[in-house]
Amino acid sequence: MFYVALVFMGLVPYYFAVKDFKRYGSTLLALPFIGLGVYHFDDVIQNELVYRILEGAAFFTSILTFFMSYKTKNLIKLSYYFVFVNVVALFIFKDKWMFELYFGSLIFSAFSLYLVATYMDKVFGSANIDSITGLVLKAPKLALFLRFSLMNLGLYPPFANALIMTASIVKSHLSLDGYLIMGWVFFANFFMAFRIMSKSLFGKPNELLTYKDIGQAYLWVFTVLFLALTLVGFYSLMEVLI
Amino acid sequence: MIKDVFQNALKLIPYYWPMTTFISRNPLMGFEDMPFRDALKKASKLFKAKVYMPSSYYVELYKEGIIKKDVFEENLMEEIKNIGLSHYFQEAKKYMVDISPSLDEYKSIPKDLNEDILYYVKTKKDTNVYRLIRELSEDMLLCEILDALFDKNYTDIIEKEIVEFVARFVDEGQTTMSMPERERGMFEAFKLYEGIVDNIDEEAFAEKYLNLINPDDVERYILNHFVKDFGWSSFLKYRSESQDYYFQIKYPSSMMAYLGLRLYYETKYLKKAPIKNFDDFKAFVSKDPYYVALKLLKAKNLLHPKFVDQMEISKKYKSIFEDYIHYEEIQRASLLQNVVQAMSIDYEGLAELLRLTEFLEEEEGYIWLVSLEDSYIKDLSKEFVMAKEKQIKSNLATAVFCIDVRSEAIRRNLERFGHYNTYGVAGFFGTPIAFIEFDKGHEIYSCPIIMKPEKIVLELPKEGHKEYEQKKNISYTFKKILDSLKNNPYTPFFMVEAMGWLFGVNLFGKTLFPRLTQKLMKNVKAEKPDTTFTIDKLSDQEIEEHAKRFFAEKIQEAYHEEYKKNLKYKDALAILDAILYDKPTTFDTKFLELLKTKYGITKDAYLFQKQKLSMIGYTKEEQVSLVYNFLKLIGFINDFPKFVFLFGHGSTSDNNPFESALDCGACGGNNGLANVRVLARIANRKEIKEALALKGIFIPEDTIFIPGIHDTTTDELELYDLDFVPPSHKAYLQKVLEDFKLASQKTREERAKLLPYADNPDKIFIRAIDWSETRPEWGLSKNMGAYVGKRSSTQNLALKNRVFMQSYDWEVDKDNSILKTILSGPYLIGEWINLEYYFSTTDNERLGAGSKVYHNVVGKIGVWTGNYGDLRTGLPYQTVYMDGKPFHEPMRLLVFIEAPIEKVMDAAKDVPKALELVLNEWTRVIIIDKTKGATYTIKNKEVITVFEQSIKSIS
Repeated sequence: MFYVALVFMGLVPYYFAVKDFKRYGSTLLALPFIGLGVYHFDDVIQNELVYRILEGAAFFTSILTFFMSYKTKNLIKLSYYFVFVNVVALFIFKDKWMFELYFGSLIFSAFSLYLVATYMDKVFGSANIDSITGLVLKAPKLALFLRFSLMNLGLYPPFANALIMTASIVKSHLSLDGYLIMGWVFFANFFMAFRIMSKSLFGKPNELLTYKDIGQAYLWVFTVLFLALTLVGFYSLMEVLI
Repeated sequence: MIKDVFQNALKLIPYYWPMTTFISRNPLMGFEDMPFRDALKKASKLFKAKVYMPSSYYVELYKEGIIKKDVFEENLMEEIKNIGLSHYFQEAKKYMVDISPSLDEYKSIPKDLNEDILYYVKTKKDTNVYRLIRELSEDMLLCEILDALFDKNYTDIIEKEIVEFVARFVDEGQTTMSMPERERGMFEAFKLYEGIVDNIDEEAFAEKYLNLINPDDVERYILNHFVKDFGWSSFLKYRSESQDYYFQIKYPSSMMAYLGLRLYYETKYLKKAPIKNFDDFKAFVSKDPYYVALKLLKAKNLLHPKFVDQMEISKKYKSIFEDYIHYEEIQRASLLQNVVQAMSIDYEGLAELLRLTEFLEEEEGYIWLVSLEDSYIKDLSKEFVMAKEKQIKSNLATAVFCIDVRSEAIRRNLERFGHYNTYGVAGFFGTPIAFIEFDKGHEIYSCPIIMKPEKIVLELPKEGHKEYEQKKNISYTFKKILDSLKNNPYTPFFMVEAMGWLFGVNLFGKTLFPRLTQKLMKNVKAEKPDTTFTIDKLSDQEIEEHAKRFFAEKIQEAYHEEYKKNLKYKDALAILDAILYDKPTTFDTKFLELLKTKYGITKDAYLFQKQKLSMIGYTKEEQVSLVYNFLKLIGFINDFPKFVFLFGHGSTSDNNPFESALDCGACGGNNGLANVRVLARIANRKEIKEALALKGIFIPEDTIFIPGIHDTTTDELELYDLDFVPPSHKAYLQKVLEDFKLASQKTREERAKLLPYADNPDKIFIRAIDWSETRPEWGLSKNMGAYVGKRSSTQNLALKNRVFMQSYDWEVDKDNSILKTILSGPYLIGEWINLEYYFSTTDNERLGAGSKVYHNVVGKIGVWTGNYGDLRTGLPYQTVYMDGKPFHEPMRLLVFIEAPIEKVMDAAKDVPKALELVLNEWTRVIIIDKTKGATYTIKNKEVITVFEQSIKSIS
């Protein structure tokens, strides 16, 4: 079952099988979540060789996904690419619950990013990060929502992902490959998030579009959820430090 | 040869002056030979700039009553009449007032899309893919096309190389490590910089690289290169054509070299690109034109994002292109249908309504602009023509100010006391000089930029200035130590630790206690001693003596440097004679050679020096004529009071790269004090007054001319050279000073209402020293007109610092020579200032300088946004906008000339440039003919009556 969990979480880049990424985007986010559930009830594999092979495969998927993310401008695609890029993080978390917390928070943020993307696709006709620009000026609430998601995904402190990751580093004694993975995860997440932010959030508004912002209620719900996540992140960090 | 096409392209690029002498200019000056309306259409396309305000702006003015209903309706009717659609007047008005400001609301696709409208759109639009590609790529560089087609980043890399070289080459002392070998000139320095060994001239070089790229339209391609870095191109154009500009003399640049280096970098980085020239591009287009068209549309942000998504999923570009065309047609047809439906209840005359809509889309900006101008013209011309002269209680003093709009309020507030007459004249007061300030090594041209001064004036200390020298030496030594510590690789960290706190005093002081810190710094700074000016011309003998002494001292210094020994003055003179007259000498010929080559002591240099010395000062005749012309120019030829104050103007601000933009434009972006001090000194001379009397101007002996400065930031009036005032006048002067103080206070109160965060007039003083203040004063923002005529016609009106006021009395100007002078000087400068403000408001990003907040000074010549990029030209956002809304009201300069119409026409005929601007309507000229009791204007090259005292007339 451990293998199934890992595959679902993104060991294999199965998004290749999906052509209509808009239609199946939610599935691509739901499956890793199911994988996380399976992972919860199963034990981590003990065989060192198999563990290394899986680690290598996850790393390969992560790099491939990062490369794929560079090729696309679509925010829907990018939302699940974030999940696949992070599967390799499993191999630097020594505590199972901490990884679950991290991956859960990741899927949540990726899902919120997905929601932003589908909103953009529905309202503006596209979720292209090069074309849907200047959200801070034209749709500030949507921009705030997008910014929260990206800051969490991009491992910006003090958001949950960054804090949980930091807590894990403080708690675990990482080996060389652990440091390599950690460096990679930080770089890949930051790069992907920053690439979206620079244009979508702060670019010049696109004159071809009629911008429409999200409602206030949505914003509150997501702000509360992000705050809760951040508190969880702090809690994990405090637990390690104290 | 590319010279002709190069010149044609260059013609459209305006000049841009360095920030130390910021000159407001018309950014579309290259189009001034075209009618304003046509020129704006062309320039807007070429520079991708907005040239009118959005219709919502004008509609707001219309609703506020600033644009008058009857004027607007009359103009609109005239326009639609010209295209034969006057019967659709109500529809046209509805479009302009109600529909256009919220056009986005009319974009939804209707359920019942009218087939006729769709057909109309389809037939009108040429969807040929090759034509579209040609149109889209017309204004692009090859590197930009490549970036668009292959998602590359060539343009940024190339731009960075170009900007880095140019910024380093033109640097005027900002960097501590300046570019070596700049003396060789831009082209040679560039060749060294890039290791190019080609032994060809710059034109051949540019042509060679142009041939490698091989564009179809060479002229357009050159222009695209210039427009790409509009700011740098404008500055280099000014620099390269200014043969007197110090840095141009020292490090010559040329536009051809600039073009050559741009093309070189472009080809350098495209060597390995899939497309290397336009032949390759054509071949690429022929393989998949639809892909190219879509990519170019995307690069220009013309492709709706949904098609960008489609391109990511599918490679069926033809089908995506067709979808795009269809989508565009539907969008356009929907908009037209919604607009037509909103304009008219039924579709009767659909074709005409569609034609009307498209005409208004194109021309509404112009119609609104003319209506705004005409509204002001209508009101003001009536006021001006009917104005009655105000009687003053007594004639205590006359004050002459610059014509600058900022003089209006202070003049008005001063006149209110009833003892003062005021006049307006271009801020250099008819005294163009090359001024060498005390303790400064270079001359500044204190005159309009279109003039070249023939006179040099030196500022000299009246007496000893030991204290000044001491303070200056301390400050110089301190600065030198700081510089060496700062620039040494090992010391900066230590310096910050040890001396950083010293800067903290200034930093915190300026932020928290600006006034106190200013006082403190004033005491630390060396204060300039009392000075006088070289007014009189040197005799030939004096010129000879000074020149010889200058060179002999240079020879002595050179001798000391080469041989570490002193040379007697007599021997130095002998050496100089040997150089000048080829006389035999016993000195080492090697040293003589060294003097010529290394120290520049040659016969030519000597003659040049003599010629410069001969430019110092004025002969008596010149002095008389200077004062005579000045007084005649403003019509001030009798009723001389006890005091005549001559006020130049300047501004005060801190941490403001655009400071000189607030100084006097007529003094080349400098403070106008030097000019008024020169003029006052001459006018106070007894022999000059006597000579003037012989020419018919009787200035009483007790009339004293006193120079002063009007600080436009604080509205303080400061007087200079008060030693001219005899004891008999002291009491009167005291009264005048009190009045000045009150007038300044009143003006500040008036201005404080318009400045943000200046609820208290005293805060205006803080603005002048606040280093975080982005808006120390409004400058010439809101300028809208110029009045050339008697003050009596304007003094009953509060013109709120919006009108340039040139004093002129047509009755004094018998031969029109004064009017011609005004038309060829102040008129042109006024037009430049006005249009700089106009275009900086209509498109601050493209034709203005953008926000000051992000500016960084580059090379001490200008600013750029961030840490690299194009040089920002025009005015910053904070000068013309407030809280996201335009503060400046952009319109062409309304030039009111008070004189009989025949006189104005005669004068204009003799000033071709002014005539061109009038006929092409770059300004609106209104003639106030009081002899006929009427006002006239010029529209479509015809004279039109605006107002007649008895009969009401048009607009």
